[in-house]
Amino acid sequence: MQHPNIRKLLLLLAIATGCGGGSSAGDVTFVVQAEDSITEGLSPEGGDEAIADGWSVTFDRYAIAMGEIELGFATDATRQASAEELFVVDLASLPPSGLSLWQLEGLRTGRWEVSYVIGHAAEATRHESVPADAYQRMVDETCTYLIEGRLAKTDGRSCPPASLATPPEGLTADEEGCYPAAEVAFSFCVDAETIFGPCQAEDGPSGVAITEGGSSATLTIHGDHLFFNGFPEGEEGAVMRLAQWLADCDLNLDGTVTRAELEAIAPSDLAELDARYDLSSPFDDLVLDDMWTYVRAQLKTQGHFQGEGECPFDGLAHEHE
Amino acid sequence: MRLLLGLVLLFGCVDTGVDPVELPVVASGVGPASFETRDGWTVTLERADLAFGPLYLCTAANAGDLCETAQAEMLDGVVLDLLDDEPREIGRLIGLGGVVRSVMHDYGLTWDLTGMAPRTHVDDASMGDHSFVVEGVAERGDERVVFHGAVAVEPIRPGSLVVRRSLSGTEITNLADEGTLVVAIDPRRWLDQVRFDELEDGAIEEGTQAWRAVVAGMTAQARPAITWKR
Amino acid sequence: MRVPFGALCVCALVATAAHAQEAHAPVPPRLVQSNPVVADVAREPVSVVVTLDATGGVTETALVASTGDEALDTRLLEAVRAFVFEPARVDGAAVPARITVQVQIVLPAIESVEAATPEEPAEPSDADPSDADAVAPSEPAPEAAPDAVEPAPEAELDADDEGFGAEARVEAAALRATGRGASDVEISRDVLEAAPAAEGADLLRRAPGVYVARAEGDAVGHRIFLRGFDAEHGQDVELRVAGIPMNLPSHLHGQGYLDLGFLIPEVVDSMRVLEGVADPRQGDFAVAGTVELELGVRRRGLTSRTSGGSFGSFRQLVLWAPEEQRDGSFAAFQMRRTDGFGDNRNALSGSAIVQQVLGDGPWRHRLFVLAHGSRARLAGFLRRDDVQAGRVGFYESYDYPTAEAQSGLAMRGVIAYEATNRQADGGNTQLGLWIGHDVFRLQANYTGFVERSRTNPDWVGRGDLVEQQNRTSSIGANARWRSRVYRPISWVNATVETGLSARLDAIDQAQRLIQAPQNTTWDERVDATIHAADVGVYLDLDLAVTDWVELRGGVRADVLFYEVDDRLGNFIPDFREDSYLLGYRRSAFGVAASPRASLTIKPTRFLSVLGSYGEGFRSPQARTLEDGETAPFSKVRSADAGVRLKLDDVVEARLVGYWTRLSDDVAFDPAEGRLERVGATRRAGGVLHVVTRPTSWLVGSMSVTYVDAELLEPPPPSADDPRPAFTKGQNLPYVPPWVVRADVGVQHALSPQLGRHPLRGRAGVGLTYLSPRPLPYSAEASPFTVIDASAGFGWGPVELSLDVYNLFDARYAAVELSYASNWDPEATRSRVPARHTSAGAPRTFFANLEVRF
Repeated sequence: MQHPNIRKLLLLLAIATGCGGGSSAGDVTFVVQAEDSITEGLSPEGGDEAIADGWSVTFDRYAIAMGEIELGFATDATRQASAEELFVVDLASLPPSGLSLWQLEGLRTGRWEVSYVIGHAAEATRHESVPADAYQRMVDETCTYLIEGRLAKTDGRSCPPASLATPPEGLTADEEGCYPAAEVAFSFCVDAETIFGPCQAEDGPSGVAITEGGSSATLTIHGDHLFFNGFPEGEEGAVMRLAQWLADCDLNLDGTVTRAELEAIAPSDLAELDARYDLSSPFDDLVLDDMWTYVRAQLKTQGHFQGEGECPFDGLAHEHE
Repeated sequence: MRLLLGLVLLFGCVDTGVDPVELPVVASGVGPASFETRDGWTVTLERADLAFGPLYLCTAANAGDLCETAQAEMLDGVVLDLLDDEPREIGRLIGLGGVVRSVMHDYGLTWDLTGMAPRTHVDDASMGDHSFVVEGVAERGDERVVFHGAVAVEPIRPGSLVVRRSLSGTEITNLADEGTLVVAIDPRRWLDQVRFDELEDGAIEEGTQAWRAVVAGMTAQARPAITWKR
Repeated sequence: MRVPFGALCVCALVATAAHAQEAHAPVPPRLVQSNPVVADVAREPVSVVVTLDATGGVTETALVASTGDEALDTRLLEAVRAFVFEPARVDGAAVPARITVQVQIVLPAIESVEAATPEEPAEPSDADPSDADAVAPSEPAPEAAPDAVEPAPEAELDADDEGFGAEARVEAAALRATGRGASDVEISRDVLEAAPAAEGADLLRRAPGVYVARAEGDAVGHRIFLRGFDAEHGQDVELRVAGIPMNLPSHLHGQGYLDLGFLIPEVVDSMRVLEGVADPRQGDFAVAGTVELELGVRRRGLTSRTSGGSFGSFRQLVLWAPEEQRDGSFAAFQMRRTDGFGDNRNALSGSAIVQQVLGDGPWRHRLFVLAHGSRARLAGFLRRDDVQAGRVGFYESYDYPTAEAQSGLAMRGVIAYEATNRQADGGNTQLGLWIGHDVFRLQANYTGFVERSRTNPDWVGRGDLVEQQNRTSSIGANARWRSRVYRPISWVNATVETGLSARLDAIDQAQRLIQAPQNTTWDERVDATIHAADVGVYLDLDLAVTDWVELRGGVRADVLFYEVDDRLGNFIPDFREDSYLLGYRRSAFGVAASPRASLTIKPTRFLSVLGSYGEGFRSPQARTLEDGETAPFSKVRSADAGVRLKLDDVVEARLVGYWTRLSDDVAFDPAEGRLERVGATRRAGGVLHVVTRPTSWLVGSMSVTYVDAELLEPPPPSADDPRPAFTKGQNLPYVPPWVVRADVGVQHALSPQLGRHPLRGRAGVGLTYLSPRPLPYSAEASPFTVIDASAGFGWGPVELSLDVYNLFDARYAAVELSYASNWDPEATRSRVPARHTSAGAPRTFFANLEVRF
């Protein structure tokens, strides 16, 4: 080459080629984040997201075992990566920034499909946000969720099905069969094992883009599905949030709803589950014969991605296993 | 030019992926025999007519909002006599070959996005804009209740269907491999949790436990089962 | 000023009448204006036989022997056709004649055209003296012995005055080497003009494997298919007009969006189509290939062309090409209006293009201005089952306000400046600057009534009228430097070129759902501002090893930067309590580097064996990028191999096989009215392209393109699209496996003299055939054949002609799509994908009156 500038240019081009030609690698961090409905609770005011029947909901504990994140390179299904750890985390005490629990390093840059699991606590590592006794309860009862909280309403009532109600002596129902209940507590240790994925950000491309500088993605758990009047698979906007049904499940009127009570109540027993409700659960293997199963089914829909992004449940990602 | 035309004929065929399918949809009820409910009632059905359709089969793991584009559909609404256990063709499933993982359907009453309210798509006056018309007798010991009901199972919002569920392992299939869709519907379970003793004049009306039990049975507890025949 | 070397030397000899007769004192033709031709390597002189009519006009040109370089042959003949001669005379009367022009071609340098001088004596002609009889058998033949040639006065042919850059088209093409492998084709003007062109974009159909359609209607970009690529609105085809890149990056309606509505066919002087990737100069969107249009007007003067025809169509063209200026200088204005065939297709558009070429000596300057505006109502796509059931007519539109409100608006303005310097040592340098602004607004409803508002999910069933707005402001520059020829070895000539291109785009875009007829907004889908920068640099080596082998190639690298202000990012639906503020701002960058090379072997002067390989790229839609994401370019690898046969100027034939692989493709998603990712794709096929000019008055061109386009990796199912429309191994949707195009044009003097002028006649036919095309969801589009024809008569400055498009009134879908829709609000909604069609135009007549002043 006779011109020195050309040599320089060739060198520059070679550098550029080197930058662009190879497949670079990056890291990705997954952050678990709780929806505000978990950390702040739900109130009867505040627009469409409010509880429509006047109750407010507060979660004291929202422990969940989650993890087993699987990634598949979008344009090469044979390229897989995973973060196998399950962690039990209390979402109710998470900082607003969330909790970074999983990191995968040295992944090829580009777009990766994401799926993750709500699993059993027995296979999970306890995060410090979860007390040892709570964790142990989840292990003992083979749970994926431990949810404890309260419903509150100044003029609240509990209206258990008359045929199932066992009120303490001296407590009489009003003419509608209801009892005063300004506050109703609940404590559920629930087995709702679910695989979520492939996940997609709201109005965005599927999965996560891993960049050379490092990327992060958020696994978001919604806390209000328990109070939905149906099982929306995608669009949650048209649902109504109602909590009276849970107050009505306090059969013994001791102020706390338990698993045993929910198991004793069939959906048809609850007058509250009227034409406003759509009980068509997507889960064919969960027959909604009782309200405990109803709770399990609702909790199996709560996994999301990057905030409002959708993850089909027990679907395609399950088939990949 | 002749050579060219020959080449066009030879190579002009294109592979468009999967082939269209059109399968007969066959439905069957359970016959007229009596059955016993959870609470010990012996029920004998005299009429069990069901409005059924439209029906969509989806590739999506979860139907509903995630099934804007379906793999196959039967759009016609039909009325089925569920006391006839003889399989009979009720319509055609039209779509494309490919795996289906979920199903959704209505019971004759559909709320389209363009509709102000649910409306019937079944051309049968005897159904009277209802999904399920049932008549029968329930007996328990000395108790005897002649009951009747006309239940309208309506979507709670436009664009939604009243039954949306994932298919079970044996129901998941590739439509290209199948010959007939068989829908088996068992109304007995819909009445299983009805407290017949609480019925007023034997009527299953909205707002009653019986109504909720039937609706829960139809939408959540005993949904039509799907099998395939090759 | 005399040019030291690199001159085009014209040795003009009258070739001559049968019998030289001193008494008649014949005066040979005299060359008074010529155009330059340059080559990238030194060559032997080339003889061109030129037949002149009695006015001195060139009626026929023929190479005595091919140079072996098809592109150079073409340029030579084109250049010589544009020469201006004074006619031969016998006893003072002008007569037809034939002249041999010997063109000496040397290195790219400052070219000029010179007449033979005493220092460069005229060479004797070996032309057959009987030729003149063939030219004008009924006329007394002019006679001129070789030594009777009258050399043109030097002043008239001085390079400064006439020779250098007199014709911008040739100059631009010659500044750097073209001829990049088997699929580098220059469509000459006679082929471009053979069949009628309803609009400028139709000219692209003349290239092998190209199909262009107005799928959605006027004012919305053309849908372009090129050799197995459904380039949508331009995502896979790089288009440059007068050196300016016309594709719009990250356009809302389609990546690399192109609307060729601005193009006035009468000012397109040449079209180079490089299918595949082989030239380091090819930039973003050069995936299927690159189309370069050079503009110029050869028929000088003021021209008015008025056209009226079917469906209330009217077109007025005013073209001003000042006689005293170079062919590259012109001003053109066109206005088109139509009521449109069928429903909802009335449209109005106007375009103005001004190009001025200035400068003398080594410096040449070009100013270019483009302004265009168009608005059209759109009929939209119709469900095929609705058409078949008679619910809607094939050429109609759905009878709902949401369908009738479909419309498009496009505006574009470009101003460009380009300076070219030819150095004395043969090197040359070019610098161009351009700015542009584009406005696009679309109201289109593809799916009927299936959308739900994301903002308020209770809002449904209002009609899926998607409003898209996109405004792009661009500024760009390009520069290149080409060296003189180096000769490291005596039988090797080497040239080096380096180039740079840069552009900065500011893009505002929005997408909403609106409810007709009030156009109330019932959902917002996109509201974003994007800034994108693309800096590309390339190196191009050009080696000629003996006369038989040419090797060209180099490498290109592009760096792209993006800044996205996505004002609806991290969307908060109405039903969610705000816990943060709406918006997602992000930036990203990416580097794409790619080698390109082409090889030409010329075992004989008739036959060339050609091959090329190149890698190209398409930039990503900026809004799909996440913060810090390395921009995932779509990479294409493209290989071509073929042979070219050229028998003088009579027949040129190319047979080419090609293979391309694209790392990830995209396909149109009607639900959102935009492109969505598909997966890796592969194409393999072949092209047969034949151009023939058996006589001076007949030109024929035919191309047959076959492709097997396969989807290698379908998109993975996602929550949003759990049922992707594509399966592994299927043929790519929308891509026609076979595309056939044929053009035939004739023009001839019908009467030598009718009054003051001869009566000329011309006719042309163009045929396009598309084979069945696969559609998404297993559907298949029907094949069609469309024939366009025109015929006209010219007398002096007036020409009357009739154009007929779709001569046999074939009813065909210009474009077919397959997707789920609901166009009957009363019926149960179908969710299974159905075929949808956009009607192609029925038979359309146009009568044209052209007057030249």
